[in-house]
Amino acid sequence: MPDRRTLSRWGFMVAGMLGAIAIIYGAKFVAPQAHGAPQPTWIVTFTLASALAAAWAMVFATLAFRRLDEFQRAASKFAWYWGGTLGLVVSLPAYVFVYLGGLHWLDPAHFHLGAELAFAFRLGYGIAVVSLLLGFLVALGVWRITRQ
Amino acid sequence: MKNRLKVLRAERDWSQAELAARLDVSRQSVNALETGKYDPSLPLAFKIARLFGQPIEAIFLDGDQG
Repeated sequence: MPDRRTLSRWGFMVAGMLGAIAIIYGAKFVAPQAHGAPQPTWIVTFTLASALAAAWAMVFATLAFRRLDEFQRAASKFAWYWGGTLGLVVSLPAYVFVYLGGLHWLDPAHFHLGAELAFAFRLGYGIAVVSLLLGFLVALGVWRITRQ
Repeated sequence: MKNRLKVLRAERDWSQAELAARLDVSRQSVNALETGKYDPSLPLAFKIARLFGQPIEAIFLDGDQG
């Protein structure tokens, strides 16, 4: 039987995930998706909902992290740093392969990478990687400032 | 870093879970500490020392002492 600390951590994790999913799905009722061209109302509503969902998940992730003891926190930091770094390293050749049309080369019938899709793919990868690096730099800055 | 946690715990006939509860850490943490796979922070080392009523250096041995 897990101890109370572990149970409350799991509770926060489940609440964080379910709450974030509920917020995203709830946005569907506020701004139903229309067929055809993307509607500004739909775009704004879902962007705000995703920001709210991310904030919700972040709050509960923080609460769950605080329930970890120092050994578990060390494990989490190790996994995030080295796992994240390894994932980032692996993503670069994968990105180049897809961007240059590697999927089309492997399966021409299902994958087409025109100029628009290539731009969207580059933008998506860029947002993820730049956000990750900025987050790392901000966290590093905060850590140093608060310890000087 | 080597330590005498397992011996001290055995002297008191405590299980790993019992020691973990007294230190407010997980049982996995106690196991990692006992096997020397994880070195505790200073606050946790002091807490352990207080719990066993011994100075830190009587529980944790640095490499040269090992």
